[in-house]
Amino acid sequence: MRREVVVTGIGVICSQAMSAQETFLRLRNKQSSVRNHPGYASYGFPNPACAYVDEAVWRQLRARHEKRSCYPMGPHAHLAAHAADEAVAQSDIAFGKVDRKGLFVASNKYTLTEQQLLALARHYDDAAERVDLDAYLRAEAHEPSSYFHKRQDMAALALADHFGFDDIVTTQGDACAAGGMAIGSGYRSILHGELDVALCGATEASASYMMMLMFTVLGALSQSATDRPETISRPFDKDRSGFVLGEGSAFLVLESLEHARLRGATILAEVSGFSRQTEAWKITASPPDGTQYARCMRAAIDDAGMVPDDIDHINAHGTSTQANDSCEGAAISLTFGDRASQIPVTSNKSALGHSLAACGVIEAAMSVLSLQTQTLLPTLNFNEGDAATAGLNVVKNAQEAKLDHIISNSFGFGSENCSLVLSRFRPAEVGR
Amino acid sequence: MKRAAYISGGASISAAGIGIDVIWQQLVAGQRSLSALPCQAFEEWPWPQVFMVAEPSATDLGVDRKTHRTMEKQAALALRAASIAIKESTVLRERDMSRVGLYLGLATVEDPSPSWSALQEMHANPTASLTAICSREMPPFFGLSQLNSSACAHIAGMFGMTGAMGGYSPFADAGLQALIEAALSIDEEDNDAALVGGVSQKINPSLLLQYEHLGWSKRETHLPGEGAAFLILDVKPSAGMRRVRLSGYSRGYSTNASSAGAYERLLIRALEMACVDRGDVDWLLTNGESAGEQVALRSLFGDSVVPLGCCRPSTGVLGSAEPLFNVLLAVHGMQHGKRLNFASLESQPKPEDVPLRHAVVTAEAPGGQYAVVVLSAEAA
Repeated sequence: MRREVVVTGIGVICSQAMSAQETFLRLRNKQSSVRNHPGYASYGFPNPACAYVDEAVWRQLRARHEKRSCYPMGPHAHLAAHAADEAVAQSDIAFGKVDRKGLFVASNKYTLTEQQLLALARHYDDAAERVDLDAYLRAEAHEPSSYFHKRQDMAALALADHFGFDDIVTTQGDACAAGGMAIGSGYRSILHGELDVALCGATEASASYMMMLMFTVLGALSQSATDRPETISRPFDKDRSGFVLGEGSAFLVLESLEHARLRGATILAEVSGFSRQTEAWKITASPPDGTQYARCMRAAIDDAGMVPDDIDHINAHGTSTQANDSCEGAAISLTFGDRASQIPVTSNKSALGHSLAACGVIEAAMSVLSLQTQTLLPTLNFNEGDAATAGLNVVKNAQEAKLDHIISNSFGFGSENCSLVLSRFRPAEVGR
Repeated sequence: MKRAAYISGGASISAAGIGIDVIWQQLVAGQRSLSALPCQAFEEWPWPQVFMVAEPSATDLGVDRKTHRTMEKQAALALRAASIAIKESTVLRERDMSRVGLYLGLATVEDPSPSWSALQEMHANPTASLTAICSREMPPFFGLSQLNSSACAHIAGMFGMTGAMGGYSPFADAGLQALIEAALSIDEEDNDAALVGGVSQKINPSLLLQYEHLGWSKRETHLPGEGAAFLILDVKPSAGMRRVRLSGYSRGYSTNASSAGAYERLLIRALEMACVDRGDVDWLLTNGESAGEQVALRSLFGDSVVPLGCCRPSTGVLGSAEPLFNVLLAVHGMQHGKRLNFASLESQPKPEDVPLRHAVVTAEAPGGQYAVVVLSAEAA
């Protein structure tokens, strides 16, 4: 018989919210975390809006985690430590007493801040026509976020060291789908019996100078500069014009049902299904007819042993770009047929921005809270759809609803897609 | 595992050339294909020559120039090696590509960002707009070409692969994580076959600074290299070849690189999963990262009973790609009834004619992530 995998802890940190509950309440109350970044405005970005973590919070995290790990902790690791601590505390799990435990962390690489960039430029040697790397090493070597520390596994190592993981420790690098992939990998490892417990999460310090620059040059960020930055991210709306960057981290503690019951854990939700697929299209976009996104969603629903009619709600990838939202809208129509106009759809990115690898786990955590509170979260700034999205039931205001099964999508640049099915935990139904 | 995963083909690109047999020959002959360091270094950088690979051209890759501009070197190397592996595979050609997965272990994909010329301009014009300088110097697709996932996308796009997938980073263990996850995807019937690849880091100033930080610039065994290795896992073995399957695996993390305990535990776990007695292991291939692993290997297998092996003397350090090169060496040995006996990983190996039954390949990251796979050859 197939093992069941349950969620026993969630933790989140993102712009203007220090916990999963606070993030959920802000979303429910339609409070956007998107603001004009004062620094980026002065650096000449046409649109300096992003959902950034305040400097005061960074200082607090650095102070709290300074001596936490023998590994250098850059911004990714600081965010991850906060979110993981919350998830582990809620789960009330003592990892030291768990034999088969794994850590699955998703993170894209850390990029330079503008100050670090300028520090690098200061070491340019005009006479030699090159950067003086010796001078740079002497001046910056002690900095945990220096140029040469751009390793994607820094957060995973800091957590593994702190919590004492000795089984699987992986770092996934699947762009915007990486967070969902990390949850799915942990789920699969428990499902096939390799592990009993998995700490799965993602972290991104992506409201950073270089990320802003790279995605501005790419044309993926909204260029709608405004004095009302909270209105820019408008997934599925006819006037959507691109995404805004967000940053943060989220973690879930997953366990086999048996393990959770043996230690008397409170079960928050069940992970029922997962799929991860590549698609043979382009590095910039998916097939616009939605066929690949639909294939991914159907595979996750199949994995859960369900049919599309069993799904009550979609926590969409919903980036607010023309391409993604049209494609996801088409995929929802292909997957749910006549129900596509009824099934409620929401995009948390309308309020939190797009935190790349982290978004999949933040949205999974919000889905767990939606299941627990039987509440649909709103999509901010959605007024009216276009031809591709008008048929969707995009949730505009928080509302109560009967929610048993939610599908959460993460569709990445680079043709990497994943979908998770999260279910309300009802002991009698487990083992279906 | 319920469904066997056979290694039914593979390909590699390294400084030694294309193919695993050229590496084998170079290892036996003690040859090294070194090139001048292609970038600036800090003063104490020890190696003026490294194992560099020329970047594949658009023609090499069979793509137009516009697509080629969206790839950085690691993505191009991956696509080149993947193309060779797929074209040479008789098994994969018969497969429904929606059931073929793609699993990659990737060192952090990057170019120096921003470019060195942007830094020069910033230095020369400190009052100029930072964003204007960087925007001018940054190629339009830079944001995407620097994503690890773009390396996957180019391969999937060229060959129409739409199976289950995964990408892992950034050090040697990631290559075996990719292989293990691919085998699991076959076991769980998500895929019927999978292309599994690893790509090295790129030799640039950023890598050299990281070497300094890791202490690798002081280790004689750690000359940097570039390369990519791909292999094909399939539920069906390739006709006409000795069948080699992935029979066991384990993966974990060691908090103490000098203690053998964690390594021993994981090696034993992989052998138990494969139902292989340690006395039946004929070859160990390792990237030899830590003292703890060396102690564990000697403790479990004895000093002289099982020879060590590694591609590194002919390829340099290849990061995520290195364990997959070692898997290809093991498979090559199993197919040809040979192994390479290294007295130490720095020494020139002695070829031996031995019908190999089982080989163990390990990979360790500098942070302590550790993975083990057991390869088993079926009776001829």
